[in-house]
Amino acid sequence: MMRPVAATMLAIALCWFHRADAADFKVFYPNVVQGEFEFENRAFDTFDRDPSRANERNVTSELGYGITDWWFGELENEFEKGAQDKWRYHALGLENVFQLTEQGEHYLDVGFFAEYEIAMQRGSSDGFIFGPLLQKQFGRLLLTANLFVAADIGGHAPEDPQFNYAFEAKYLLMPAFQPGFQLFGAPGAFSGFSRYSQQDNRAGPVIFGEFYTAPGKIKYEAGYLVGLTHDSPSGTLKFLLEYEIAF
Amino acid sequence: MALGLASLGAARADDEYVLTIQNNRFEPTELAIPIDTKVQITVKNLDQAAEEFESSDLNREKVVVGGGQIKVFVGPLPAGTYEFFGDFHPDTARGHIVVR
Repeated sequence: MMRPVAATMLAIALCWFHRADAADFKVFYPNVVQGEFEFENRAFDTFDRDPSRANERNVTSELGYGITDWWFGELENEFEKGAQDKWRYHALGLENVFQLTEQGEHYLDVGFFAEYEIAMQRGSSDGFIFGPLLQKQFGRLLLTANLFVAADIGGHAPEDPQFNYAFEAKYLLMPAFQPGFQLFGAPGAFSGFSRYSQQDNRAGPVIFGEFYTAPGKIKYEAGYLVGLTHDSPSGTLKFLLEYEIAF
Repeated sequence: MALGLASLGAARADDEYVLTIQNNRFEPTELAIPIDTKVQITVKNLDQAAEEFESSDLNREKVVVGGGQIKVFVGPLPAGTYEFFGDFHPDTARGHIVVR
């Protein structure tokens, strides 16, 4: 497998630079399957006594393909509804996952994520989100971490680059049912993290699974994230449904 | 039993573990590897058509082109049985790794 540092850099350059919120509550893996076609839909909804944090909803649809054995590209359409707001076509995104190490060969499996999001609302910033994808397996326990920089590009009021992180622990119990846990954090801008109470940090149980069809397979993910800070919605319900088929 | 042991022995050579795909089947269908040890498994596809080595138990999924081969790193793993299959021919291409 090629170790595509140069290609990664090129893709970053091509992706060059939405409102950089990486928070659609998905954990990315550092592994790529060449020739795999993927159709994914995911959604979340928030719950809170405070109406300014309740009923924030997002639906994202993606089409992806394993272009090589180290590069997976996805085109996504993201629709969202802010609290006390209406649905909007939020962004068109181009996601890239680059596998940088052979799975299981080294202590950590490492990949790189780069996404360019084109804002669909006038005046909003485009977004460039990038960072390493790390994974470690202990027997049937699979641990994954995403460490992302989210930068606004253009727009009327771009924010300073933000730090976002995600962590997942999943137990590979059986294909159809794999219990797990996810944590998503947005501490704030690199120029100065927000006070903890003002950060958006959420965590909770998630179940995963896959069902083999002929051909392909259907994967699902469902979870409930609890707000860990004052400014986080007290609850976030999330779903993911995906169809995969390799050619 | 004896045939099974012979089959396991044939799959292992100096810590190199080999699985072959032929006529849309894995050979051997049972591969024994040591407990708490990382091993490299070479998957050779002797068929002309591509196959995908896949295992939800092992968190592995990788395409093997026709006539080609891949390396799959597995472990360290606790004792147990870990299923794998060929995603393009799941009815016939099936096997498992036994860790002991």
